[in-house]
Amino acid sequence: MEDTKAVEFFQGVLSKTRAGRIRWQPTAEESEYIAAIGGQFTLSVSYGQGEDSSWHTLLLKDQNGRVLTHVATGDAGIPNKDIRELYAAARRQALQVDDKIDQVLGELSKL
Amino acid sequence: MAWRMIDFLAGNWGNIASLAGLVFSILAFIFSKRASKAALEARNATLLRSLSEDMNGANRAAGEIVTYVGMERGDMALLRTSELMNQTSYFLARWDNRLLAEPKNNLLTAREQLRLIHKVLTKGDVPGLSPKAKAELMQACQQVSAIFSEEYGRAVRTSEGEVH
Repeated sequence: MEDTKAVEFFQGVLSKTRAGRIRWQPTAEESEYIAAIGGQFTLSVSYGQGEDSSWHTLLLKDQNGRVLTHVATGDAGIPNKDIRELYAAARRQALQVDDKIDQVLGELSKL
Repeated sequence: MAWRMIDFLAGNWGNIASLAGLVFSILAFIFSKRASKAALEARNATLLRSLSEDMNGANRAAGEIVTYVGMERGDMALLRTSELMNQTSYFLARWDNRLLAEPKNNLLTAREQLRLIHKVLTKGDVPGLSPKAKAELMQACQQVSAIFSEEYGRAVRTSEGEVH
């Protein structure tokens, strides 16, 4: 059954990430990115891989570190392409990929 | 002249006493206000000093984690990471109503980073990590250290009265 609140939460995070309004940060885990919002919540988006499957997960935690909601690949109302896009965008922003590519382009133009 | 004064005092002693009472009440009110303001300021100063000390301790511990990871002393880094994770949870609860959203976001980020640093350190020895994983671990430790340095600076600045 679709958790409408969780779907709404996911869409909100995706839309703010697309707009670049969430400060995603890289972590010690290569495939996990985090962001704190409102001084009360932490978001984490991660990628996992099994023997014959892979998945993306978005978690919302409260100030005490308790998981409030959990959205993952395959959940009702969460299109796979959207959760993949969220992970890719969070990664891109956390690693400042666009800025670095611009830097490289600047260097390339000098050659 | 003296008799007139005595007569006046005898005839109006009640009014004079009321007036004197009023003056003393006003003075007492002014002094109690000043005392309570001074007490409040002293309490705030003590709290802010305590916040600075907390952040200073955390800043030192975060610096030690960076050093231990750099020295590939995973056991010591793990110990310090656990301590700092608990301390950060304590800060979030202790200073909840004193911190603005930005420092709270920083502390939440630090705790989450520490949780993942702990996870990586628990998986295996630092020397056994791939160069890429080691670099990511080191960057995360540096970020935690930078967060606590920033928060320590902010707390000191606040306690010095530049920002309230």
